[in-house]
Amino acid sequence: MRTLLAITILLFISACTHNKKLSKEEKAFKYTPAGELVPSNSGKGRVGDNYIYAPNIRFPIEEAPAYINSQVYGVGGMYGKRGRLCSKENYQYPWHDNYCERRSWSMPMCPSGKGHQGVDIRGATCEDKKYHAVAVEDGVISYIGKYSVSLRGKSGRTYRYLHLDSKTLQVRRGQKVKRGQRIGLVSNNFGNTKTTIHLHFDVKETIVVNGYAQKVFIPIYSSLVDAYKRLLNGNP
Amino acid sequence: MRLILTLLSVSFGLLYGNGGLLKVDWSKTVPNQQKLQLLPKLLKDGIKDVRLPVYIPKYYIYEKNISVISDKNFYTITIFLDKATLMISGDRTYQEKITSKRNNLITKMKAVTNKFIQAEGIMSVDFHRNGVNYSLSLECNAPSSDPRCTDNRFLKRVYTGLILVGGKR
Repeated sequence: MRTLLAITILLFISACTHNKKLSKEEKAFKYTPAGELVPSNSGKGRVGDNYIYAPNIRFPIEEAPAYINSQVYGVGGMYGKRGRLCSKENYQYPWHDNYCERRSWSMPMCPSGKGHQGVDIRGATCEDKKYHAVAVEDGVISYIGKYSVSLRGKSGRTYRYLHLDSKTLQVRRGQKVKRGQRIGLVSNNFGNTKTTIHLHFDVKETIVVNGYAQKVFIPIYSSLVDAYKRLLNGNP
Repeated sequence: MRLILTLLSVSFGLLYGNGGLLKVDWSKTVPNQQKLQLLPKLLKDGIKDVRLPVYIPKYYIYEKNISVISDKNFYTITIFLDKATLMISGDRTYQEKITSKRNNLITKMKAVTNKFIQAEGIMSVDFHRNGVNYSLSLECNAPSSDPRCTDNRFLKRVYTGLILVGGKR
């Protein structure tokens, strides 16, 4: 018992005194706070809500770098600066939250009651079908549509991946998947039309507020920042 | 340090996890036994262990071109329509219980339920019934031009035609 206690104390002291150096990638990573939408006229986010709703999930794109920013208000987007969708500006830090970005549909957790229900993530470059989306936790593939895939995680959350290339999906309905397992390639698939090359990622969970249970799309940006930091330090 | 912190947070999570199971209210559920006997085997087998009321649109009750994914706390039934997929899902788990300590969330969460929305081209509705949560959605191959996905009338009709086909008490 004493030995065990001594080892625990030693481990704790050694961990506290160990000062890990940040890698180049970790140093380069920058992000604006959750809820601060860019540009400011792109909607009203949940400013100040840094709560990690989905703790310890894996980042949904296999490798860094990846970029969270707006498709609609980014360069070349419908309401964005003029330019090419593949502009370098869209593929650089800092990340910008785009949960609750202006949309026409109802969203219970957005301050305005309406907004984007997830976040848009670009791969490292503007290349189609190059970057793998992966399972963020162990679970089962519960649904596959024309351009969306749902993963029911062990936690009970439902993770939805939109715009993966349907022809190269690496999972089937009912398949059990492990955290980090490849699901499909990030593309511009939007049924019979096309969107920009990106992964739309959203998460649904049930929240009980004052005894009333409601299933909602949760703010996922902070959870993704946390997951990305772990990916960068080699512990995804 | 990170390892220790992770271990500590996992232990805390296990001990004081904020999630759980919702209480199912079976009092208003009356399954139609006659119809249940005629259910396709795939559906019958798929939902036999689900411990919440299982609903499916009555128009597709005998449809064989379906997929059922389930465990005791949730189910997802996908019905493959012509150029679209219809999905109904029921779930009795919850992941967060908000107390008055987190006022920020309470004040900013607006109760919206039974509202049909078209988001990312997918028409859907979330609703609360028998104490648990359900989602119904339709994803079209042509999201911007298929009237079933641009107008909510189709999904509303499906929603009003939901019938109870199972669930283990």
